[in-house]
Amino acid sequence: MHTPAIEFKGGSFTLSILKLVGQTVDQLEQQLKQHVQKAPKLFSQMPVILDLSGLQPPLMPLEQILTTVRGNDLKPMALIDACEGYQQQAQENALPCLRPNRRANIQHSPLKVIDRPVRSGQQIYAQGGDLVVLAPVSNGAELVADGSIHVYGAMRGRAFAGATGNTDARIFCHDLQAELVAIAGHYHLSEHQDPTHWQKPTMIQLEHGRILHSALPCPQ
Amino acid sequence: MSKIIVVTSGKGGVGKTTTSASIAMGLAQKGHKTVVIDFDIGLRNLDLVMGCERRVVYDFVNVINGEANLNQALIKDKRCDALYILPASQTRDKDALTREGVGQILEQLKQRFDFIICDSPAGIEHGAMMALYYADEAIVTTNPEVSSVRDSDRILGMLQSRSLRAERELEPVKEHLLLCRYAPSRVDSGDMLSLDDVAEILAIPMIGLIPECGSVLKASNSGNPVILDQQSSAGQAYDDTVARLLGEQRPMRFVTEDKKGWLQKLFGG
Repeated sequence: MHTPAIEFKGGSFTLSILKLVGQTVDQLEQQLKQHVQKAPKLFSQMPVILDLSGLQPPLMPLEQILTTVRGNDLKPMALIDACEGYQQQAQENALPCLRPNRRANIQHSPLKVIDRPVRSGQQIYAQGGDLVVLAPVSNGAELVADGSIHVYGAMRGRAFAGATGNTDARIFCHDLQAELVAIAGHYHLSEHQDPTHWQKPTMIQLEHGRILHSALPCPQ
Repeated sequence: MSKIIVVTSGKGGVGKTTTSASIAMGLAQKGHKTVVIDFDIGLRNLDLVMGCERRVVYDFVNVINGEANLNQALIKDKRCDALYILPASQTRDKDALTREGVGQILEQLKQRFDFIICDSPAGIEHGAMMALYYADEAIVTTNPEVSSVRDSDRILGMLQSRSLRAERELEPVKEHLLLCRYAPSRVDSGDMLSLDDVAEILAIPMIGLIPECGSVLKASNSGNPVILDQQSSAGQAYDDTVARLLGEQRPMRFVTEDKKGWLQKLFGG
């Protein structure tokens, strides 16, 4: 059998952002050292994202900043929200530059409601909240929500609730024929579907790391 | 107000060109000035089904490139004065179609015709996207078979997201489902998806049902759109479809097996 030599997988990790606002490298070095000494074990080899947006010109060379940070046993992984000058220096130092996460700015995540059929090949993403679909979802269509997913038409596609890791997210289908359902990365294929819930109103949730199906009460 | 109607499907061989030819002929026969355009650049077929393959001098791509004007490329049908055919180029590929070029030609055609029928190539690539981009309405041609239904579903998604109407957030493209090659006996025996199955999955209104019929192959090979054969069930079904497209209400025929039709087939009627 042919086995691929590489495999790309999705994953999300929580990393600390280290915001630097000092005027000189010495200042950084001193304060960083003090801070790390409070809990050396915690900070040992800790990966961090560097936020240099608070530094005032003239800019300290990135190389010196990296040396200081690494000297304190931290592992800088990337820059965030870097100015043009630092972006170029990051490239020279083989460090990726990240854009600030827009999600952090969303105070309130509104409900996303879709009232037209979701067709094969289409993908709907409800960022930061719940997704409600009032129409059928076809085979080969994908619903993704950071919160829960509700489908009122026949659900034949794939549903990914709790896409950013919310294990309390649930999926509600009024006619369950889904190819795949997933909550916070735990998935369940229709191949292994218990036939008792097929084409029935069903709620799907995560319990102790397992996908659990249960019948929804439906008015007669 | 002229209408641009794309005949599309996603999957190949389900009856797009047969449908384009018959619908165009049917509309023209009812007195509507109609042009049918072959978007299948490199795999020119419509001219064969329309029986005008020996009259092609200039084609769609020539007009886009400014090598000929529209009048030189349009072929007038010999059976019906109101019908014109704009053939595809056989020697180019789909990349010859540009959004601006297609748009300009359609704009010119709109001045002269009531209906512009766009015969889409199979697939969801550039050629198919060009065929559906400017559409006002879409006839989604499907066979009662799972892969065809899924591909039609994909094309419906494209109509909702990649058409001009979707991009400009105008009233969405009006979608019609045309189910071709339907064989009630095979539905009864469970070999084929039923009308209801397909309609439920695709969830768009049905404009017609074309039964599996030997006359379609015969018509294609002889270059006469099957709608001209009003003895055949497929011809009658296309006639119904055209009437519905023009707003008439007609009951759906050929949904169940017709004993007489089957016998007729047996005796070559």
